[in-house]
Amino acid sequence: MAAEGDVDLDLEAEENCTGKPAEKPRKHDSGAADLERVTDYAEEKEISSSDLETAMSVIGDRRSREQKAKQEREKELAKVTIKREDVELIMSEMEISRAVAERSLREHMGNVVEALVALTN
Amino acid sequence: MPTITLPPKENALFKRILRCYEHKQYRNGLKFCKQILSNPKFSEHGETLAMKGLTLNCLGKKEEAYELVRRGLRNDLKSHVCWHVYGLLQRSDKKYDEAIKCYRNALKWDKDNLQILRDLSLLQIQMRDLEGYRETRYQLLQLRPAQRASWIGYAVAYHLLEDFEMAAKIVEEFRKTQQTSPDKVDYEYSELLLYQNQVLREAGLHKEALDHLNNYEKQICDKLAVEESRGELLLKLEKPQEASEVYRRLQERNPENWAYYQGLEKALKPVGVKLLLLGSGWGSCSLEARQKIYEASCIKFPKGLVPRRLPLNFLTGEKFRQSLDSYLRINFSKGCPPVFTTLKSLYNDKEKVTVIEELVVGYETCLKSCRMFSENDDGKEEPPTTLLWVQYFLAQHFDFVGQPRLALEFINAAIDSTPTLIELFLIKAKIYKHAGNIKEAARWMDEAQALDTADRFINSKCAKYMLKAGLIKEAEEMCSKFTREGTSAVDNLNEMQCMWFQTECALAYKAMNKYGEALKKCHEIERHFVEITDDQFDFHTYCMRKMTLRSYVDLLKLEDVLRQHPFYYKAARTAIQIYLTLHDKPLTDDNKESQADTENLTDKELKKLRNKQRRAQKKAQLEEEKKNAEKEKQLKNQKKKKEDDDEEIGGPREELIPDKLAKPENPLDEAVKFLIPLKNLVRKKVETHLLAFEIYFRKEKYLLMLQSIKRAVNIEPSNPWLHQCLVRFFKGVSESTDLAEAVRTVLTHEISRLFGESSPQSFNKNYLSQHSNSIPHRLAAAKMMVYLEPSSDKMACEIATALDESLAGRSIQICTEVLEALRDGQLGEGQQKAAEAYRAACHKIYPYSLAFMPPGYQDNSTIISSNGDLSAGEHDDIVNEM
Repeated sequence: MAAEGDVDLDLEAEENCTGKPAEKPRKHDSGAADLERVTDYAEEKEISSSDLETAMSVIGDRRSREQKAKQEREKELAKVTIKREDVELIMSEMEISRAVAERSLREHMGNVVEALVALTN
Repeated sequence: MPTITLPPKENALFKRILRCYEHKQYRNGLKFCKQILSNPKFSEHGETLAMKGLTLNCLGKKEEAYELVRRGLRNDLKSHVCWHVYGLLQRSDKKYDEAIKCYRNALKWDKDNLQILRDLSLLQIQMRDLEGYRETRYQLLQLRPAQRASWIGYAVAYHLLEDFEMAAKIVEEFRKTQQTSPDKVDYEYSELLLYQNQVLREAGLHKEALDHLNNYEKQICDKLAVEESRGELLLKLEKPQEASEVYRRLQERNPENWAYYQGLEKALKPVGVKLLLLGSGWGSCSLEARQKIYEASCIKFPKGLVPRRLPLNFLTGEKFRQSLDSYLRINFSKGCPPVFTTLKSLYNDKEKVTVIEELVVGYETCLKSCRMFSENDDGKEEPPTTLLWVQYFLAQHFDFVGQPRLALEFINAAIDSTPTLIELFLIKAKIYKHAGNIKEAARWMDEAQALDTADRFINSKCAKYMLKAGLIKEAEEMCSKFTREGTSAVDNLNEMQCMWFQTECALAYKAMNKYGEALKKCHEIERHFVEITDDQFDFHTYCMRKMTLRSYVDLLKLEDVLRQHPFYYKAARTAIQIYLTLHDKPLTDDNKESQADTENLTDKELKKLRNKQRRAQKKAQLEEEKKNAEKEKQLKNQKKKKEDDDEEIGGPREELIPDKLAKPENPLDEAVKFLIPLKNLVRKKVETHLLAFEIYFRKEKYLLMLQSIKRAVNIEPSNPWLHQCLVRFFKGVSESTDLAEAVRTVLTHEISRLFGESSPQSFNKNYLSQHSNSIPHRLAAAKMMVYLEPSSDKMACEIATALDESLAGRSIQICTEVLEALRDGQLGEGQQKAAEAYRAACHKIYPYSLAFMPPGYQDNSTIISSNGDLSAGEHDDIVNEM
């Protein structure tokens, strides 16, 4: 399939070609062909049903409750004041990212010693 | 540049480009791109340029692709298509974080774009951003509640977040919308039902799950899964009668499945199960009842092995002897090679080992004298092969209990009678390996291999032994008999992700101090794991489409803990050890690895060595040239192949060059990279935390040392290596000065918790007196004595070198460690004399072991012929020699 490499040049010559380029021959790897099919394009199937709405409402309820609880927790954590040098100490001592360090410090109400003890567990 | 809007004709063309991309018709896609771009009015049309780039990327033209996509994006920064395409390009390059950012930008311009949301969700699940995944799936469900995938994806999101009830609820809502007739076989519906059932079971809703199974049983194709789940559920719901019926039915299907017997036992004796759960073991009252279950099964399945094997686990005394006797006789008469393997798990119990030995040794004597298992047998003669298998068993038995001399006697007797049976040579090699002579072992494995060169198992075994013996070239040649022609065996094995080979190579190179080569192998293995993780990507869409959700969730869970695999563990451990060595003694340019131990040699020896090295170098050079020529040829071949292969994705990765790997800028950081997955996934292994300690100790990160120690103490508080870590940590902390206050506070607090009121010295003494009857513990304590007080070397040496038979933990491994410690000064300088005396003492105990051979010992036996063409005559000689 040398042509494959020179797509640009060959295009004009193949102006009328509309079909798929011929599959290249695969001898020893029949499995590879199957693997390739995994990424094939497929049309989404639709459900033809009327009671989707009730189903949706069941799920919607639950979701809004969840989100609320999560937001409250985040708010509470955000209220905790933490010191920059504490965060940096945790980051360098424990070799973790800023996000993780901050989070653990907040969860321990800004107490750096407690946070460190918890992280070494 | 303002966004150009395409007129209808071009717009139609553009849509065709998109369709061509989806259907992988890349060449046609390019054609349409050209049609648009050749019009000067649209030659800078951003979206078309981007699509051209994306299409070219699929044809392997990455650089061009990036250029076009970036140009397209620059021309049209407000186009969701351009951003989306840029994201897809990054994704194909495995830059998942970047890709997510691009998708987010794309969604800014078109927040409800289905395709982008779908692609985003794929990346989120790949990166295991489960919360994000759930959000995206929710949006998709809102937008397209009529699509199957919307529901399934949302349910899976909850399942992975371990909110099983919600997941079950979503699946149920979805299931209700599916119209299927009860008589039609619909595999996908069947999978959906099984998935739902799995979720219910994981939610702990046993009753609901059982009803669910009963309701939909007819529509489920996987009947075995139904029965097995039903059995499990009935047990959990404490319905033993019904459960026992299920397990009996399952036994009919497969009388060799252990799990069904366990299920049946649980069903028939709920009292016993409770006792077991309480940790008090099986009550003696239930023992007989237990045996009866198996006796009944033996009658029902006269050829079944499992109902005969399993009772051996719990029977004792005379009953054990009787059952074992009949089990062994069946297997020996039949000639069943793995019978020893099936009994290995009983060897924890010393009494049982004695019974096994008595019985089988008895068989051997009688079979030799009167061809029967026992003199009291009524006249039934056994065929001669029975004796052979009995001897084969005994060889393995004595090897396992650490008596190589007897083991060799039996295996040689067997080989004398049947010199053509490969299994015998295999065991002979194994015996030598366990006895500490890997060279001899490799020789015998090669012999086994020569008997059937078309047997790939034995070929691999042989290669493995050769690698363990440091014969890397020979091992490669051995493997090349089964690898593809035209490429080198090593490259082919790497391509095939043949990790056992690479692990052994790494260890062999490490043993030769060729750290660069060893690291290369470790990194290759690491890359295989990266590749395996990447390979899951396509299944996020495929499994949802095919409804194979059970397997899909299993796959995700497997990928999460992939690096738990022993292959990764071994590679990581080896790499970490090497990086630690490279940190302690970095290689300099003229300090070539091969010259490492020249210090202890006399002038004459040195001269000899240098000569030898020079010759070796010359030879290596020649070979290198040859290899390079070959490589070039292969490279050409490969290039051609790559050009052919238009689906080649993922850019070329940095080439692994041994010399470069052996000189890392920061070895400890490299080591940490290998360590992190272990820390997360193999927390239960004490060694993980000890490796971690060794790294952090050298980095002087006290809190991370503390973390490693705390975790290790929870697993195995008396571990000898851990003890050394503890002492070094204790001493390090007491001597440290410039620590941050918070760190100091934490350390003081935790140290008093771990060590109480003591000093490193008294802590070490305490440890020694507590474990004075075990060699590994003594060695650890002795090393620490010298570490804390160099002048105590004499006493330390005495403690470490004790070899009394009454001491626990004596093995070739630990004795080698003691010897090394004596030689390299860990037990004080100037212990050469003690080392030699110790070596001699060990040699007496382990006469076969190469590690304890007298100085000047030369291995004079036949050199391995890697082509395996030992002639028959030569082979007889070897047998006779033995």
